Amino acid sequence: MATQTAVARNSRPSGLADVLELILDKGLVIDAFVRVSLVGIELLTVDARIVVASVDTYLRFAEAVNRLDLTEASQAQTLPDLLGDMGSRASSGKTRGALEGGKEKVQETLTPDREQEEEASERR
Amino acid sequence: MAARNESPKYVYGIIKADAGSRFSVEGVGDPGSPVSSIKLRDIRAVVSDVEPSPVRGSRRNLMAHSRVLEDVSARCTVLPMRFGVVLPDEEAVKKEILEPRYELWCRLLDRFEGLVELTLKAVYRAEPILREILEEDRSVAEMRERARTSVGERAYFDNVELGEMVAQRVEARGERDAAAMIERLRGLSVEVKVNPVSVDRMLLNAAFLVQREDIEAFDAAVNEIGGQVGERIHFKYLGPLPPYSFVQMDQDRAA
Repeated sequence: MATQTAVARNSRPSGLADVLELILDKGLVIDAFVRVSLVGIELLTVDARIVVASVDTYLRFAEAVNRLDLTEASQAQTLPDLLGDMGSRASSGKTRGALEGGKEKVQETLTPDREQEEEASERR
Repeated sequence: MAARNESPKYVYGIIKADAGSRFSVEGVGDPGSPVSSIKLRDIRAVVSDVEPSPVRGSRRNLMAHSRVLEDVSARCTVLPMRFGVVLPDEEAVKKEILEPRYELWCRLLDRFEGLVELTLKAVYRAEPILREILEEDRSVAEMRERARTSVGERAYFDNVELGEMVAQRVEARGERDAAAMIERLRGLSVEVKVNPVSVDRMLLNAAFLVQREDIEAFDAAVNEIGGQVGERIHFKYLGPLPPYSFVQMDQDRAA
């Protein structure tokens, strides 16, 4: 799997999460005249904006760390190495295997993978 | 035919009067009505007719609101409204929105002329950051060992502690990496708004107010950053958008 190094700019919000963040939270406010019925709206993505570090967060990190297969040769470099060395970075494609054992996936909210799934399902 | 100006008006935003009055997308509602505008001297409110009831916060309506603003923004500067602004009729739009803050709208339209919003979110990819932390910090590697071998209730507490150590280190790296990105992009922006990060492993959630003619240079800078850190960090880069994140700030200041 190729990791993304080119960053494409989307000219329109690709999913509901992007749109919600912009038009519910921002823009001009004319308080007396906002008349919205929020029945039926998916508020999950709205609530997800406010993240309070919690035990759940810590357990997710612990689970992710515990699943790392450290017997695989690490491809990681330190930050200074990464910023200074663009040429000789080895492909990190094969490290993905450690997290995707069988049908299991680490479920995390709005991770890159999850976001891509959301985008794929919301693109109309 | 009933007088159209008696219909409730959904307001999307404000533009200059000379920016033109032809719009090609549908507005909110099912079905959505054509988008038009209501003029007062040198400004216009971009509107469409809606039913006389609260606007449903449905996916359809939210996306329609967003699309109308994208369509308008592609042609001219627009001050975007928050979702859900509805007035009883055309007169009310003039009397309650356009007239009372006329000077402010004119000033904001001048201020945002030729400016667009670009947003950048950055999230650490799951594995690289965790490996980095494990390798750079013995205490985390040791805690991991302890958590893996403990049992029962002890295991739960050890994992919470492990997770907290990791979370703190991810956050610390995130602040450092985000600061470097903002520094790189600040010089190409008129203004920057940094929002709170909203999910695990997100390190940056920022809006940049940029001159239209600087978009290409901004793209290049974002891609330069992506080239350097793209294997550890996933980006979501959006725009050009109407200046959603910046109009409110100006409105507050002017109030």
